[in-house]
Parts: sequence; structure tokens; C-alpha cells
Amino acid sequence: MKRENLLNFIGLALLLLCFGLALQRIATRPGDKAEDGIERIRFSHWQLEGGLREAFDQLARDYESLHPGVKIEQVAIPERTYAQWLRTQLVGETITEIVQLGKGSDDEMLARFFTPLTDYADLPNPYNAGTELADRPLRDTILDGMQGDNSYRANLLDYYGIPVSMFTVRMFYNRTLWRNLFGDRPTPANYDEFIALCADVQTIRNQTGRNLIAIAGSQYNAPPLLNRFFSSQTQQLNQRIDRFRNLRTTPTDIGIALLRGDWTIDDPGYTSGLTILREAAASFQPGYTQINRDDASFYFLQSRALMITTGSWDSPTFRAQADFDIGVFNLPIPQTDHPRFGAGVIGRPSESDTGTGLSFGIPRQTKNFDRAIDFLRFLASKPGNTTFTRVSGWLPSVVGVEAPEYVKPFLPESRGHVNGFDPSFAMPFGNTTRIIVNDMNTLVGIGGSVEEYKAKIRAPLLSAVEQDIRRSIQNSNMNVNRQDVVLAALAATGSDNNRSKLSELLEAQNKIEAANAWMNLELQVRAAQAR
Amino acid sequence: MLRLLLAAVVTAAVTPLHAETPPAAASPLTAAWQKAAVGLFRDSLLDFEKLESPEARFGQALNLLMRQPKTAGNVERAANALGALAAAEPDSELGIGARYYLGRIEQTHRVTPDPAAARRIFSELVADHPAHELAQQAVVKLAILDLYEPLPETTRRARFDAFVEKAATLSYPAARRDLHLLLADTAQRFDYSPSLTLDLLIRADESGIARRAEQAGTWVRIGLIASETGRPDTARHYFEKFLATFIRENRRLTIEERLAALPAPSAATTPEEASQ
Repeated sequence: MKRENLLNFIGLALLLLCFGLALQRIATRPGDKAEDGIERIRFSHWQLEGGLREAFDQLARDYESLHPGVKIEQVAIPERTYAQWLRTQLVGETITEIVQLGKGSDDEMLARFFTPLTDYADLPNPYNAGTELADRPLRDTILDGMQGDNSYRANLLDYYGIPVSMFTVRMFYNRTLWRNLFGDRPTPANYDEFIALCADVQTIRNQTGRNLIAIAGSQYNAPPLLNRFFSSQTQQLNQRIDRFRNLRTTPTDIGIALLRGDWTIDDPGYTSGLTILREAAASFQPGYTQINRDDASFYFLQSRALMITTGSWDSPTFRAQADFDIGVFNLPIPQTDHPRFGAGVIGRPSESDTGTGLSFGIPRQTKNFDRAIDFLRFLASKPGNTTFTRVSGWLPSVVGVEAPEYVKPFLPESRGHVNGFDPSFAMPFGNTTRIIVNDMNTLVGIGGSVEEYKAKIRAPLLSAVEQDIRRSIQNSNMNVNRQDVVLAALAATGSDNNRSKLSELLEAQNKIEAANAWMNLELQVRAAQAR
Repeated sequence: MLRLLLAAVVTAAVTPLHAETPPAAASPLTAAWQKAAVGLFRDSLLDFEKLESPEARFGQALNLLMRQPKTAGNVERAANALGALAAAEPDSELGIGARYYLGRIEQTHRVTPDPAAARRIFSELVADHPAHELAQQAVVKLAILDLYEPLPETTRRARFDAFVEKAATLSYPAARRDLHLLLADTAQRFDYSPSLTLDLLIRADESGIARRAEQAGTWVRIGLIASETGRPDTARHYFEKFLATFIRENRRLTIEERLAALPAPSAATTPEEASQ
């Protein structure tokens, strides 16, 4: 046999071998079939943080003890590959019976591959029997009424996921280091105490030459802290430009108001926001904008930083990895009587609109749907969620669940005012954010200033806002067009449930369409003025 | 043998595995609509293409509008199909639907929308079938077209006033609600009187707001505007409704403060009295 033919033969043999192995794997994969009387439910998620898998294991064992003959298995998939994994498994019909939603699960995928859970959202959760939630529909037992994006899909007008947790952002501090540096000094109760604390860390660093920073900053960890301070300064401004008087301005509302000249970056609230942002950013290590999340976590875990701002999801990991005590406090914003930063403030912001997350859905191809939904109801019951929060250290999603002491600092502060907006007013599509972020060094760097920064962003900001509004109009027009076909289909299929969906969808469509028409008109007026 | 094996390998590699679709419905037509209702437009289009009936042509035309990539040719094919249906039976349910969606194609689906054509189609539909649900929705679409084009402000205001009169005559709650909401928003966008906005919002609320988020926002708006325009009883009524209904809301404290700041209640005791 010629050498070339031999190589071809070996290649083909290897190909066939791989194909055979793949077939065998598919044929023998653990599935949902009841083998030896065992009914299997697998659920997949990407949460590899410490504590979470232990919590899910505990819940699985608890459920199995309630239902002999059922085996619950969790499948943890790395976050970076989750979206691709999900799509492949769905198309290959090898997906787990329960799936965490949020990465790669867009409307089209949900509609095609997942079972709407709306009927179950309207029913009481049987695992809440004997609690004060016994008679309430499932959605009313969840802290945000299951309104999160990964639970209720506004475009599809159905519930697709049941959430298990929620998330807030707090300041974590190294309690051991704190005691060494400051003894029994309490955590800061107001903005000035917070800034003084950071300045004291800097003084210790200068006097001792110790490699120590006040707050570990990064591209990921800095914005939550800076935006919290900034948005305290725009609370009054936000209400002044609230054209619709509903105390809930949208990014495009704020953008249009800027283009109309209803406010400018010279407004005292915005300017004060930039000033406080510059002051607070001095507490990070130099060059923090170039640092990633992992590096900032190392600074903190290696005791090179006294504090770090991050979400409740990092709490179990930090507690598992740190060789020191960890404390947590909420960032104190300036009070209304603060001499420099009080004028724009209304009060501490409410976190009542903190949405729930860690939502799980059920693919249509799940054969034992009844068992899958039953396990999901168990996870989202008051007893199940109590176990979840106790073992994982994550926040609960269910009303009335008592959080353990170390989780309590993360509970959302419900008493508070409507917050202001951040420097780029959360404008989607990136152009506004790019302008705000690109020249940030002019604001926070040594030798930078608020006025210099404003001079740099003044002209490009308006143009970027205009571009983002155009993108927003374009995007929501696509949605409006899509709704037309769905509306016709709902009318044609005509059940009571569909009539109610139809009414909701019409209301949403008309609101969006009129908003788009208005924004278009404003952009036309602006273009005419420019000519 | 080798060829057969290779063919098997290649076929297995390139054949997409079956994706789950909604459960089979009572009839192929219903199944096709059900797929469109959950956004599976490509599947729905394929189903409609296999069916033979005017309704199937209607469904096919609408799903063509969603065919990706969106092309002027597909939009034109959809318009032609709907035009044929509308011409064949202009006054049947299907014909009225076809006319409404022809208007929508001109208003929003074409690459370059034709507002004048949309206005003409909607106006004719409203004139021919004023009591039909889709004709009443067409009034809302007409208002969007008429109120948000570049105009002298006096003309806009005259059109606005005409739509306010029209809104009171609509019999379908959804259309009545949507037109009142649209007019209230318009009044605020163009700085018309807050009292007028308030009345329009109350009318919208009376027609039944469908979405919870919209309901919360509407009650906040009514309460705040009423408190700022000297109608404390109305403000109190809506603030209290908001606080009783929306337990987890970041606007609660602000509303509680505004409620506490209202003057003492008058003799009005019922919601009807309070909202007068």
C-alpha cells in the first residue's frame, strides 16, 4: 500500500473511531430515563463561585429524601463557554432537564426551546404549604414578583424562569487589617468619614512605605462605587428633568433632555457628580482603569488593599479564600446638609427595585417536566430558599426568608429615595459610555480636573447621545414590527389568555412607537437647528 | 462500502437535529398561528405556505415581514398579498385585517416608511368600519402619525384637540386606553396644561391599564400631577392605591412623603368623588 493511501486509511479509521465513540457516548449518556427505578433530573448552571454548588447539593439531597427514587444532579459549566454549550446541547437534544437562563438565552431560543411557566407562576407553590405564603401565587412569593429579565420575557409575554437569588453591591473590608491599622474604629457612617478613612490609609502608606491601598479598583470593581457617589449628586436633577412625572426616567429620556437643552453637563448636579467621582477615585490604586477583576480580587485577598467594592455573589468566594476576617458595609452617600455635596442629594437610594436572578427554566425536550417543575418549585419555596441562602451565603429570592447574619449586610435597603443617574446615564449602545470613559483619565488622573474633562466631552457627548438614540429607535422599531405579527397571531388564536396578552402587547407597542416618533421628531428639530 | 460509511458520517454531521416546537394544535392553521405567537416566524411561514386558504395567505404575508434578512422584495410581496386580500373582500374580518396591516407596512415595515400612504389606508379603514376593533387601533396609529411630524405648534395643538374628542368616542377599552395614554404623553412632551394631562391619564386608567409597570407609573403620574395642580383628594386616592398595590417599589418613600405633605382630606369619600 502506498504511503499516501496508508495515511488516508489511518485518517478514515480515526474518523470512524471518533464517530463510533461519539455514538456510544450519546447512546449511553445519563438521561432522564428511569433506570433501575431511578428518575434523574439534571440541572445546569455556570455559577462556579464557592458555596453555591454545596448549596445546590444540599437542596438536591433534601429533595431526594422527600422523593425516594429521584436523583438530582447538578452540571456546572464554565461561564465563558456556557452560551455555546447551551445552544449545542439544545440542538443536540442532550440538554439537562433544568437550565440556568441568562447567557445565550435570547427570545428566539426561549420561544423555540423552552416551556413557558406562566401557568405555574399563577399557582401557589405546594412547597410553601404551612407557611404564610401557602395561598399566594408563586410570582407573588418572589421578591420582585418574577419581573427580572430571566424570569419574565416582556417580548414573549410569558414567564420562562424561576429565580432563586438576587444581588446587591457592597463594600467588603479586611477586618483583620482594619483592626491592625485602626483598632476599633467603626465603619464610616457618612461620606466624610469614608473619605477620611481612605486618606488615613494613604497617610499610613506614605509614612511606613507599606504597599497598601485603600480600595482595590479595576475596570469591573470601580464603576459600582463611583456611580453610587455620582448618582447621589444627580437625584435632584433626575427629578427636575422627569418630563412624565413618574419618577422613573429612562436613559433615552435623559438623553433627549440633554439634546433639548433641558439640562447640560454644566448643571450643578452633573458637575458635582464629576467632582465627587474625582475625589472618590483617588482612593483606588493608580492605573486602576487598566486592571481586571481578578487582579483587584488578588489585591484584596493578599491584604494589599483594605477594601473592595463588589457584589454579594463574591462573598462566599472571598470568605473561602481569604485568610482574614471579612466585614461588609454599605457605601455612605453625602447627606443633604453636606456643605459641598449635599445640594443635589434627596436621600439614601432605595434598593427595592433590585431584581432577582439565578433563574432556571425547563427546555421543551425535558421528558419528565412534572418532576422538573416540582424540583424548581422546591428550590423557590420558603423552606428550600432558606436552605439555599444558609448554605450558599447568597441572597434569597423568596419573600420572608430569614437570611443568616453574614448575608444580612447584603439585603437590599428598601427604605430610600429614587436614585439619580450615572455619568453616561446607562445609555445603551456604547457611544455615550465610550465618550464618558475614554477621557476618564483627564478627570481622575493626577493633574486632571473637572473643567478639563468637561471641555473634552462637551461636543462629542451630544453627538454620541444622538447616535445612541438613533440606534435605540432602530432597535425598538424592529421590536415594534415583530410585535405586529405576534399581535395578529394572538388575535387569530383567540383564547382568554391570549386576549390579555394581546392587550398588554398593544399597550406596549403603542407606548414604544409614540416614544420613537417623538425622539425622531426631536432629532429632526435638532438637525434643522444645526443647519 | 467506504462511500456508504462516508455518506453516513457526512449526513450525521450536517443534518440538524430536530428542535422541539410547540405541541401539535387542533388544526394546521392554528398550529401555524401558535408558532407566530411565540416568535417562531420562519416555522410559521413554512406552515402557512403549505396551506390553501385566504387566512393562510394572510398569515403567510405577515410572516414574510419577519423573514430574515429583511428585504424590500419580501415586504413588497407581503403588501401585494395583503392588497389582494383587501381587494377581494374589503369588509370581511380578513379584509379589515389585511387593510390594517397594509397601513402598518406603510407606517413602519418598509425600509423607507410612507406615512402619507399609511394615513390614507388607516383613514379609509376608520371611515368604513368605525366600530371595528382594528379600526379603533388604527385611530391610535393615526394619532402617532399626525402628532409627531414636524408641524407648526398651533396645527399640532388643533390635531391634538381633535384626537381628545375622538378618544372619548372609542368603544374598545384597549384602543381608548392607548389613545388616552398617548395623548397624555403628548401633552407632557409638548408642555400642554398639566390639568389636561391629568384628565387624560385618569381616563386611561379607567379604561384599564394592562401592564403592572405601566399601572404603577400611571398612578404615580396621576398622584404627582394632581398634587401639583390643586387636586389633593385625587392625589391621595392614587397615592394610596399605589402604596397598597406595589409593595416592593423604589418610589414608595417618595410617594409616602408626598402623601404626608398633602393638605387634610376634604369631605369627598369615594374614589369617584376623589377623582373629580
